[in-house]
Amino acid sequence: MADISQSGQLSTAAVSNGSTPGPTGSKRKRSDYRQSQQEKRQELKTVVFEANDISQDKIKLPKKKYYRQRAHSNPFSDHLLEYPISPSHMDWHKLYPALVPPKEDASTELAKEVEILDVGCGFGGLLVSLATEFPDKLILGMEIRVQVCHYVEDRIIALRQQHANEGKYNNIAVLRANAMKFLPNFFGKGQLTKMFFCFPDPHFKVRKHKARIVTSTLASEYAYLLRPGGIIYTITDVLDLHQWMVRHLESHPLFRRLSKEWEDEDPCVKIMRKETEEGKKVERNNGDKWVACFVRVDDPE
Amino acid sequence: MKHPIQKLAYDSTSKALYLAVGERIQKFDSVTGDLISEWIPHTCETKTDLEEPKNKKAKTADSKHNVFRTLSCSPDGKYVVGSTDEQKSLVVLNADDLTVVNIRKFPKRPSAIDITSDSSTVLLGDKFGDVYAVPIRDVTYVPTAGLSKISQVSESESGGELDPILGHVSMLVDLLITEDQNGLRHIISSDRDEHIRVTKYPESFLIERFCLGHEQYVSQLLIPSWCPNTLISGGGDDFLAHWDWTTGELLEKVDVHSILYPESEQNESEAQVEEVAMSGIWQVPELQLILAYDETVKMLLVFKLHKEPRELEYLNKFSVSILDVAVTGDSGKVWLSIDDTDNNNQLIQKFIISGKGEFTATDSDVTARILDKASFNIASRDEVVALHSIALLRKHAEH
Repeated sequence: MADISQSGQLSTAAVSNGSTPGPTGSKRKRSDYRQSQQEKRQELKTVVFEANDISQDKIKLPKKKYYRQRAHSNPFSDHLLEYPISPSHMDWHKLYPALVPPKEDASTELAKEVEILDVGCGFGGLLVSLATEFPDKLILGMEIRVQVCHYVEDRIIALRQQHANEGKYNNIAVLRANAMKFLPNFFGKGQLTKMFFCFPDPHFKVRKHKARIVTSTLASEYAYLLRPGGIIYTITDVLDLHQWMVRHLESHPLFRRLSKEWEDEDPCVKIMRKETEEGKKVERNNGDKWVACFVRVDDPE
Repeated sequence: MKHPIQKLAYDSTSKALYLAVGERIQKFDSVTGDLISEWIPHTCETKTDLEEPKNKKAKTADSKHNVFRTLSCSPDGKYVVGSTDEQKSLVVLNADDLTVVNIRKFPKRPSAIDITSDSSTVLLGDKFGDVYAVPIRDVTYVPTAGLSKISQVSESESGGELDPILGHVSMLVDLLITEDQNGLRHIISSDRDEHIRVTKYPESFLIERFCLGHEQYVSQLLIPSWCPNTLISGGGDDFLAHWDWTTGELLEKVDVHSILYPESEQNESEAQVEEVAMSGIWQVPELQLILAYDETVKMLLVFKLHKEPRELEYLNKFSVSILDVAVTGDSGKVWLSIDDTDNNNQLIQKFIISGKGEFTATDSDVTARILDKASFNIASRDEVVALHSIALLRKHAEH
């Protein structure tokens, strides 16, 4: 679907079609780009960049057009996903090389844990902004689409190197994961303090509603992951989905909706409105944005 | 030939043995071997609760596919409860005479049921991962998906939509409800995504913990009565997992692959896939034994579960093709439903298990009387739906 989105690319491809066999024109360009990025990524993913490191060329920020992918993914299909058997099997050092010591090290008990989760992080706009807003917290983005996930990985690598002097962006990382199915494999009970659901797939068809990322049954799982006082942030440009999320979370005994005043004061709401890619797109189109935030209350006695 | 008996249930108070045969249920006196009563849906279905054919497609549900997939007795012995495939219904019958208490349809195919210890509520898990709690007796309450088309059909007559009390985002394969001496209850549920979840009940919005350690689907859960903190689970993994479900600690993984596929046989058929598919786990409390059945190798394994130290010790194996086991609770006696395609007068057998896990056939006269009346004749095996399907839960992901 995404492949035919740029008509300009299509025509170039058509012209050069006769001369070379195999992938042509923009397609070839994209696959070459992806290949070279892949190699760089393998090499640099777990590198801690030293301050004043000028031995390498500055890594460029990735170009979004090479990572386009269909906007939807079936959360019920058996993707070839990698996920740990349980949270204790997870090696976070690979994602936060500068801040989390390798798993083999005995001292990992005091290691930092991920506290902030962006579910369906897309191209990573929110992650990048949160990185500097919460410099001492580990923040993770989860994304189910492979190419989009690669883009965010490359973006983080580039940012880490470009800001090696200040040591910024070491606290954000991205994982390809199915957040509807496997969150308990990554995080323990009460580990998270904030969960973001920004512009989730609306799954308009009634038949598909179970595929929505916020449902009353999944809310129980989010309540398990969040410690009391933790916050769920939601934003969408689809009113029907907004009402759905509000209904399912408000009716859940472990969540209470936060007030409009609270939303206006909270820095994350501001970031969520302005810094997500979808948020910017809606802004350009003068669309509506619906925000709702919920606090994880204490377990009833 | 006769239709195989896909499910068994035994009530130790009345000593009644219930058989689910295709879409029918039969009740036998297990002492005398007499057929007490029988429920055949199209003849017994005088109830009008099931007004569903308004559905345009009106799949004239081929009765062949509407077989019972689960069968249980309520703890008080008053009801027999089963769920069927094609019509996705939960059938509650009076245990006395197998008359209908109610038949309720669900939005998705039921895959597991359990009944609370007070016999008031049935918990039903479905192929979509949702779990519903419905009163065992209430007829007026017709649960529907609420959001699916079905609800639009029957909304007027039903008491509104029924919300799931908990949900997995994967097929729910087994569930059970447990109650401790203080009356605290928990639902333990397992799915195709390797998860075992412990949820409070009735406060089912409170997930207590996950028991994580499986790497394949979890099709069987069991809490032994003499070790109430213990959970034994199995499925597609090469091992049975032995948990303390109250802490989530995995106490041990008990290798079953090496028992099912001993090395000697391994060389002959190297190319064959050696997969484990546990389709049943049962307990024999009087002997403190655990039985586990693998449907691929068709082997019943016997273990002893020790309390101190907590350990699952392998005792014996019994090569037999079965569909279900009904434990009587009386000195190691069990009924086995045999899936015997060749010698079809052996659909059900009674065995006595020794403390060492050896099986000896017993009560052949009673068994013969039951066999006389059990099941019904069919022309060929083609009339029977696939009854060994646990192994299909294994994932084969593409991307």
